[in-house]
Amino acid sequence: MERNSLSSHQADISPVIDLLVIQPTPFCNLDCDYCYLPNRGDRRKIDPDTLRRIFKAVFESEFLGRQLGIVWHAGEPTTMPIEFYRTAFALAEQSKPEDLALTHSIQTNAVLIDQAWCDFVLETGLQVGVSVDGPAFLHDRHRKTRSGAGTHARTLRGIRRLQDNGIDFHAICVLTRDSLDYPDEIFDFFADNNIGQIGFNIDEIEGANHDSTLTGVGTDTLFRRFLRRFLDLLKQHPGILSVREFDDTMSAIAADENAAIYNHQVMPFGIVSVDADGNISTFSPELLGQSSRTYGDFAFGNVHQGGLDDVENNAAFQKTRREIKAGLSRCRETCDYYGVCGGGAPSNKFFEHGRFDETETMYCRLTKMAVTDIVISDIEADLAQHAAEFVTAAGGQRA
Amino acid sequence: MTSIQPVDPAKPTERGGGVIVRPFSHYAGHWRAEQKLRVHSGAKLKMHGDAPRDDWRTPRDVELSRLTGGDTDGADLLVVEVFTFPNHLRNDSWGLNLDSDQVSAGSGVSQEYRAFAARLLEYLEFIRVPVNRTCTIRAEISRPGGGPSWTAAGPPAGDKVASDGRPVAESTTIMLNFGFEPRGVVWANQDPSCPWVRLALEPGEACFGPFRQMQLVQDTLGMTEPDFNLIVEPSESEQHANKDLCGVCHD
Repeated sequence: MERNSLSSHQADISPVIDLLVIQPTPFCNLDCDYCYLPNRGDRRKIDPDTLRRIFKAVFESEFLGRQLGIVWHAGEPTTMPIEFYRTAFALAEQSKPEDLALTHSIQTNAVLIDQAWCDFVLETGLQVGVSVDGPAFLHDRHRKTRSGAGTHARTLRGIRRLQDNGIDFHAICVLTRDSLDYPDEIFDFFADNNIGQIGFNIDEIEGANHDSTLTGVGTDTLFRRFLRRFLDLLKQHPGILSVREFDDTMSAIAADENAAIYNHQVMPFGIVSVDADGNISTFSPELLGQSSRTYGDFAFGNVHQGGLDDVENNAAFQKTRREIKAGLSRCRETCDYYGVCGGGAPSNKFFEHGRFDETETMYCRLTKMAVTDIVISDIEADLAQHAAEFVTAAGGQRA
Repeated sequence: MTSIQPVDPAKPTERGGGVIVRPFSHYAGHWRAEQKLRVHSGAKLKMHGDAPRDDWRTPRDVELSRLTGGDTDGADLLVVEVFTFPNHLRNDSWGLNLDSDQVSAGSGVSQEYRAFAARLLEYLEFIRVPVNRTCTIRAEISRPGGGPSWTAAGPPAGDKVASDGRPVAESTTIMLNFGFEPRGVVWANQDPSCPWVRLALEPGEACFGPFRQMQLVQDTLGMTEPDFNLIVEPSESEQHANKDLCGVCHD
């Protein structure tokens, strides 16, 4: 790949908030062994005053654009009562600028999805993502209750409820080392259960998850082998499943080479994350609630003490911003994949290297480099085949 | 009354011999040997050959340990490994037009079958089942209500190297249950006093091994659906070594 051929300088782009992550509670009803959240047993809940202040801080910010997605996340959102969301959505609607297009979404383990939740989703247009790692024998190895029981059956029950109500959703499937031997079974699971849109996350070294099953020797090769096989299955069974990683990479490759690749994780205020106590963070949402000797707890402000303007003056924010920018520059100068990646995820740089001005991470190698290589090799193989068919056809016509 | 004897997998006999049955590295699910293996007291002579007595039972702990290789190094024993294969292959298989008249008329194997067989081989290679590209993939379909039929696989003949460089026993045979009901795979001893061993292959399960003395039991009695199996076998001899996928036959 031509180095940097696809991108201009993101650092020159003005920040725009396009995602607001609100933590209604840190609590999660599950205890998945790869989870990055440090306080998922904490039953704190966000209070209405904090919520009001979050909306005020964001909606009055100079960085607000015309569209905003609000993700209720960083804990299991369905452990909060539906009435909480009804009130919160109404509050957001009342306090937002008139011309702001607002969407709400949750990422859920679906264990608590019942008819009342489905009714609420249908009533409000709440967008739903379900976390499910494929078939039970893979899912239940990692996605467990606190007593160690598997959760697949209950997640599948929630998925059925959504489907019975005609609710469209996407799935996030976390790939661990165990998954890499079973692309066919993972494909079958999503195809057989009529789940048409999936995204692959990986077992990342991040936050409370200090190690990953994907760090072993030879894992990179196995990961690529998995992707290759999965892409082959998608092509053998067209129209059944779309995979975010392949689609996004295809789009990035097909994009105008002068177009700026936009990575909101490296942009200050591209993503604004606020925890249940009103602490504000930005850049990667996974930084929220984490702690570091160098950077503190990544709480660059608090909605009870000021707005986003105050975050800009926070020393830890400025240090983080400087380092992320330096890391971004290094990525742009040294990495062949910058054009389809845009500088990686600051949280992965921090949790893998202890600092933000780094470049390559395991996350990069697997989710960006490996995917890009597989997609490009597939495009090249298709082009070669078409060329061969064309030559054969042309030869036949001459004969 | 026949006495029930412990199974000794190390005890060689003229036919049958010792057998170890274990999950292959690719096994999607929970392996429970006690649910999949049965032994019984021996064979009874019938007009068309031996048949197992009707006293199949769950192996005792000591037998189970031997049968699964728990207290043996496996040397000189027939090692059979069980794996699973995905639903999309099963779904694809039911779209095949396996027309026995077409086959018997010598019109050969359909393009669909060849494409399907190629996809099956891709899968087997992906999960690293030792498969030789010069193999034959044979489909067997039995209709419910038919009596038991017997098909012997083998014989062994030297070693070859698989596409991934690993040595492959020429006699390695793979059996895949594409049907909707479990099917039994039996290792038979000719000595009527020696127990036989039966592995229950669930739909979507398969097993492979150097089946020198394996007898595949196609017992359709009590079944309600057609029994549909694919047998991946080494080519019959070197003269067929360069043949691609061939041979579809119906039972």
